[in-house]
Amino acid sequence: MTDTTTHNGEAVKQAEFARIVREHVAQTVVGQAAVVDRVLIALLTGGHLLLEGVPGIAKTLLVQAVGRTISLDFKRIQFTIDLLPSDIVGSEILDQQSGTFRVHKGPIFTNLLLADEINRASPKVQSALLEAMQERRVSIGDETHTLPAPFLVIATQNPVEQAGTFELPEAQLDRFMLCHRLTYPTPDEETEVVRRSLKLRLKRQGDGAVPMTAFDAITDDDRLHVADLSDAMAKVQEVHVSEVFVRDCVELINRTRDHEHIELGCSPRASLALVQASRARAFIYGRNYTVPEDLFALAEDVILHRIRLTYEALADGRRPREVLRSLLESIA
Amino acid sequence: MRRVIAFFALMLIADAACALDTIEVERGMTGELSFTYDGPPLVTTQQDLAAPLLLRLEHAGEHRYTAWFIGSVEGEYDLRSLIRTRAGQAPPDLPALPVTVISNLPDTFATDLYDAADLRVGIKGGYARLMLALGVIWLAIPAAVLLRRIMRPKVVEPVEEVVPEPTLVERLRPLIRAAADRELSVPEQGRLELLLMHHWRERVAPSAADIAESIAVIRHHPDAGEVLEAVERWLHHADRGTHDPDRLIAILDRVARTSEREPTAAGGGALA
Repeated sequence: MTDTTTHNGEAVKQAEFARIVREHVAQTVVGQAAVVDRVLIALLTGGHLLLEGVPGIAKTLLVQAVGRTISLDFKRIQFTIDLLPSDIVGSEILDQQSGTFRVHKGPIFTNLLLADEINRASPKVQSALLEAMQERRVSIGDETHTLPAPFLVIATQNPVEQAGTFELPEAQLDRFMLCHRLTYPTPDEETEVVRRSLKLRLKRQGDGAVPMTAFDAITDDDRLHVADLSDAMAKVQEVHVSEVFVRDCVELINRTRDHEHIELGCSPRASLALVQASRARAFIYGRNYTVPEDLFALAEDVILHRIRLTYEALADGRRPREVLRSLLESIA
Repeated sequence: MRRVIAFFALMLIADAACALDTIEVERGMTGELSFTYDGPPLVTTQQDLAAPLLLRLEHAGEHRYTAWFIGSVEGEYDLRSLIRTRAGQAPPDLPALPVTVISNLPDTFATDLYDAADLRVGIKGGYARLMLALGVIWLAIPAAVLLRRIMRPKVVEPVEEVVPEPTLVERLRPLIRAAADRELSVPEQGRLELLLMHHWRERVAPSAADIAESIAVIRHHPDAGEVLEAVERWLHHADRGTHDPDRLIAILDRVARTSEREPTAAGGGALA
């Protein structure tokens, strides 16, 4: 996590960082290029990412592959109804040998945290995680602990199965820089997934054996390091954002507040997220300046989870995506 | 002493006078009259419920009787006429039993409870005329409104002159001209870029799924891609000084001229 060796001993150049991550992840995960880009954007900007999608589309595999590629410490928490804040943050436990309390740090002390099915946990647990995401430090007992850097939460939620879940309120959704909606792979991609799975062999464990999974196929060859990520993050901060681009972003976000079908528009945090995410996207695509294409490509992921339609619009059968598209068309 | 005797004498005379008076009972109220008769047992005659006076006789023991009566029509009656012996004969030696049924209603009002002669409302009087008048009014009002509408001269609405939406060229020209003369303001720069993008989206990527995809298509187009990149570098690059604005304006001018020659179905790229 603190290794400062850079890739092949050279400074990772702009776009090469993204290319290496993409190629490395593609060895394990088929397709999902847009999700890899979103994970990279979140990593490069220090934002957090919410992934919405049905189970079984390689969310965990993808995040683990990205983490392994950049040598990030990775932890996964399956959120359930009986999870407690201390299960995430940690707690003080009594050391019976010394008779004193010592801090037991929870799984949140990692670089890359996958919060699987975040909407299954109670609001108390959700808010504990979201506070940590915002402040990047947690309090255990009387002590405050700073979370490792980089710290990125990738939360997932299943948009279909809503029974027994606690929907994240708008104020907490706003903490996620991006919310990306995953789709099923194309038939060609799915065929490739099956082909790859057929190549997996058995993994020997002593005298026994278990079938290998895609997780076992993640390699550690040609890996990047945290220092490479930090260099890339510094380069993202150098990406130029023109006055014209800032005006376009602010104009779009402002229009969400005045739209007839939108009850709750975006906060200024959305403007910041849009500009920062666009910077990272420009970096990934090898530019040192943002262009409107970045704005249009990321608008859905930045805005859609931050707006709430009016009751009348919902009753008319309108969907947030349609309303956002009409907004984008109005400025483009 | 004489005065006392005279007082008692007067009292006896007054009492006798009261005994002779008839009993007054209001219509519909039950009256009671007690009398003695030492003849054969008495009963009431057959009575009709619609009779003006109804009587019930109660044998109170020995030779005493109590007569309960109720009158529905005001007047003076003798209860004796409604009493018979069990043999059906008028009781001999039965004194008159006068009663009076009085009414509190004015004299002009009928007092017969069962006299519901003709309750139908007469339609020959003012009521019929009133209803007829109301009917005429009811028909006359819509008829008048209808007539007024028919008679109203038709107003010829002025035909609004349809002002055509400004075309892309009409929007681009002033911006390109301004860019040649001076530095464009930030809103003008933004508008110019989005107008160009709209222009190419219609021509180069009309079937793209979304705007980002259409821009990606434009970027790979041999002509549009080059211009798009030049515009992006001009408007968004940190070092704008290295670009030749005159060359770019010449390119934009060429785009505007092309748009003029090849207007799209949407009217030359009109923007909201």
